[in-house]
Amino acid sequence: MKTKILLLKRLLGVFVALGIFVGAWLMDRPKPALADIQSLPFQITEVSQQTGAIHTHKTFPARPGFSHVEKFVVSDTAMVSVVDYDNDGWPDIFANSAATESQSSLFHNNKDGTFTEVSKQAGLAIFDPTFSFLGGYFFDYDNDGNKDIMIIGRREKIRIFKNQGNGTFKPSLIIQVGVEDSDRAPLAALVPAFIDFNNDGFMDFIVANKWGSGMPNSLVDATNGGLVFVFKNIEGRRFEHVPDNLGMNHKGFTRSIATYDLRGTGRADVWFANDFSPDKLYLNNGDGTFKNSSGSILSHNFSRNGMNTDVADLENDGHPVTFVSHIFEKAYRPAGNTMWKWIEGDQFQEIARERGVAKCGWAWGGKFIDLDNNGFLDLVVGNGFISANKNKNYWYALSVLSGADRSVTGSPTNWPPIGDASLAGYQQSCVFYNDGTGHFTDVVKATGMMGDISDERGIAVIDYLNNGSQSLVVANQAQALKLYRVDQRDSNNKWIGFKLIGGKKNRDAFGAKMKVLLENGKQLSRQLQTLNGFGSQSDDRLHFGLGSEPAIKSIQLTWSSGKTQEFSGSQYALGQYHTIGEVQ
Amino acid sequence: MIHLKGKYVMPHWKDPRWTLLAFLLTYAILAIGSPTFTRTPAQFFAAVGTCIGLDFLLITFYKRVKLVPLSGFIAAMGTFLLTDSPEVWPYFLVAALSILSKHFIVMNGKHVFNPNNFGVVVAVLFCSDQVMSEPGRWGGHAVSAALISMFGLFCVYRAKKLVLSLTYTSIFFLGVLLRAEIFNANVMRVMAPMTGAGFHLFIFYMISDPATTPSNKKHQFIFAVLLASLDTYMRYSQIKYAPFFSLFILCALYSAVRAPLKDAPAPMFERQLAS
Repeated sequence: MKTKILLLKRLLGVFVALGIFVGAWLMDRPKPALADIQSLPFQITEVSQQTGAIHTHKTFPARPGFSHVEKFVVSDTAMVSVVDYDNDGWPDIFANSAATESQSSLFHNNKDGTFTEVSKQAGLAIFDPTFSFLGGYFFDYDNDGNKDIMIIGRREKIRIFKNQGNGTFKPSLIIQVGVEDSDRAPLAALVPAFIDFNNDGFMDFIVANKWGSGMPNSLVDATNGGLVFVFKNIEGRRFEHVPDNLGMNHKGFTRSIATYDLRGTGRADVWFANDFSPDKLYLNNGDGTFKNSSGSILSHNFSRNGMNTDVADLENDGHPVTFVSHIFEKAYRPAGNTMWKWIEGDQFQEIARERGVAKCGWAWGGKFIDLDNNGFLDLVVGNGFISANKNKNYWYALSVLSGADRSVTGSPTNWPPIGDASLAGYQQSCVFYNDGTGHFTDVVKATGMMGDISDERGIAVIDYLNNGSQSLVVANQAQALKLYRVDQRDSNNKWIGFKLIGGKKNRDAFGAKMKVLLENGKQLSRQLQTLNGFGSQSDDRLHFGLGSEPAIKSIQLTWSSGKTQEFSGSQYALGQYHTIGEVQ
Repeated sequence: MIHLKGKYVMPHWKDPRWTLLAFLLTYAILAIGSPTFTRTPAQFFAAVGTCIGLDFLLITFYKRVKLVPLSGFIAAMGTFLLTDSPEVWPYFLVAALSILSKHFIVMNGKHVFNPNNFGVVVAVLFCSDQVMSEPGRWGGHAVSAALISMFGLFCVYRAKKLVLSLTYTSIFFLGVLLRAEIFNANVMRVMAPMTGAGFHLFIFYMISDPATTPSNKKHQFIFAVLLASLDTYMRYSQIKYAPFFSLFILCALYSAVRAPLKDAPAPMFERQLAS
C-alpha cells in the first residue's frame, strides 16, 4: 500500500511537471510566420550596384588604452541621411565613412532610378587628415530654403556647412562642445537632434554623447556616460550653448534622440535612447522648459540597450508609439526591443511583446514604413554588431563583466581582449509586417533582405523613384551601403505624398502634423520628424499609403507655428507628391 | 515546532531559516523599489503565491500537517531574486519547478536539488529566450556585495555551513589566481565575478542550503572543493550560469552518496514533523 502511494505521488509529480513544461513551451513557441506565405503584397530587392549607390563605410583604430576592445567601441559609426539637397524634388543620399582620409559619399538622384556620387563637387569630401566623418545631418538652420549640413566629427567640434543653393556646401560655423572627460572616452562622438525648443522658428539642437569616461561602469545601469548639451540658434547666425541645457543634465551612452510631439501639445518632447542604462524622457512644459519624466518609462522597462528611436502614430489615434531598438539574445538579453504607446499625461505603456516586435537581434536602426501602401505602418529593423570569427564569441566576457563591481566594469583594462571574436554577428534584419490589427510578423524570409547578414546600423526611408513606394537605404558598419527598392505587387493600393515648406521661419516644417480623412471614415496621421533613428535621417516628405479605397474627404495640416490649414480631398490628385507652403 | 490554532504548525523561531527569510525578504523589497532591478510587484506575488500555495498544499496532502510554509517562502524569495524576465509567467514556472522538485525529486526521503537552483537551471535551459539570471541587476556596488556577505556569513554560521561557503570562496579565489597566472591575464579581470553581489548571494544563500549539501565539516570541505573546481572549469569553458550548473551536478552526485556517507540529517522541521 505504501509503495503504491509513493508511486502515485511520483506519477502525480511527473504529470504536473510535464504540464508546466508543455505550458511554458506553448507560451514560448514562435507564432506561425507570415513569411511562409509565398506572395507578400510587396517585394524588396537590393539595387545598390545597378543604381550606382556604391559606397563602403570604413572605420578607424581605437584610441590608446582601448585597442584590445577596438571592435566594441568603434563599431557604431555608420550612418545614412536622405536629403533633397538641391531642391529638385528628388531625394538624394548622404553616407559617411568614419576612417580618416576615407571618403563619405553624396549621391545625387539622377531622376531615372540611378545616382551619381558628387561629394567632391558638393564640397563634402575629405576635409583634413585628422578628421573622421561620424555623421552628416541636414537642416535649414538659417531659413534660406536650402538644407545645410551638420557634420559630426570625432572630437568635440560640430561643423555646419551652409548650402549655397547651387549644389555646393561651404564651411560656415564651428561649434565647440565642452565634452567632459573626452580624453578618457573610448570615442568622443556626438548624437544630434534638431528641436525648436523656444518656438522662435529657428532650429536649435541637442547633442548627447555616445560614450562617457572609460567603459560603461555597468551594463544595465551605467552612471559614467557623457553629458547632454543644448544649443540655441541665434536667428540663423550662430549657436549659443544654453547654460542649464533645459534641465537635460543626465549622463548617458546615448545612441539616438527623438524629438516628437508625443502628447499632442504642439511642442516637441525629447526621448534619449541610451545604451547600458534606462532611456531618458523629457516632456515639454510648453514654455521652453522640460520636465524629466524618465520615471514614467522605467516601470516594466527591462531592456537597457537603447539604440534607435522612431516615432509614429501607428494607430492614427493621436497616441503615437515610440519604437526603441534594443538587444535580443537568448540567455543573455531576453527582453529585446521596446515600443511605448502614450496613454495620457506622462503615462506610457510598453507594448513591444504584445505587438510582436520585441524579439529581433542586436538591433540598431529601425524605421516605420508603409511597405505596401495599405495605410498600416510596418517596421524594418537592422541587426548585427560584430561579424568576425564565428567560432569565437564575446558574449560570455560581457556577462562576466555584467556581474562585477562598477569600478571593475568601468575600467578598460578589465575588459578581456575581443580579438577576432564575433558578438551578435551575422544577423538577419527584421521586416515586421503590420497585419492591420496592430500586430506585427517578421516576414524577412519572404523578402530580398533575406540573406543579408551585414552589420547594419542606420536605416533611412527614401522614395527615390518618386513613385510612392517607400524604399530603404541601409548603412553597414565597415561594409557596403545597401539600397533596397520596394515594389508593389498589389497595384490597387494608392498613395499620396506632401512636401511641406514652412513660412519665413522653420522652413524645414519640422514638427508639422497632417491628418488625412478618408471617405470611409478612416483617418491617417503623420508628423514630420527632424531626425529619427540611429544614425539616419529619412525622406522628409509626408507619405500616406491609402489602401484600395482611397477617396480622401479632407486634409488637415497643423504647422509647428500653430497655424492650421484645411484642404478638400479633391484638391490633390492621388499617386503624386504635392508641395504645400505655410500661409503667412 | 510551534502549534497554532486550527491544527496549524509553525517552524520554531530558533529555526535558522527565519533569519535567512528575513534577509531575503529585505533584498526582495529593496529590489522592487530599485529602478535597476526591474522586478514588478506582479512578479513578486507570482513567485510568492505559487511557492507558498504549492508547498502548503503538498505538505498538507502528503504529510497530513498544516505547516506554515517557511521553506516555500524562502524558495519564493529565491525565485523572485534569481529569475530575470520581462514576463510574469516565468516566475510561476520557476516557483512551481522549485517546489515540485523539492517534493518529488527525492532520494532516501530527502530532496536532491536546491529547489531554486533546480528551477532556475531548468528555466534557463529550456526557456532561454524568455528567462535569464542577470547578476548586473544588483547595481554593481561593492558595498551591496559586502553587506550581502556580512548578513550571509551570519546565515551560514547559524545553518552550520561556514566551512562549505568559505572553502568554496577560497578555492574559487585560488582558481582565479591560477587562471590569471596561466593565461597571463589581469587578475581583476578574472576576479570580476567575485566583486559582484550575485557571487556572494550564491555562496552564502544558495550553496548553504541545509537539505542538499553536507552537514559534516569534512564532507562540506570536499563538496566545496569539487564545486569550486567544477565552477572554475565551466567558467574557463565560457559556460554561462556555471555556478548554477555546477551546483546542480554536485547536488545530484551528493544525493547518490549521501546515504553511504551517513551525512546530512534531515532539516529541522522534518525532524520535528517526524517526532
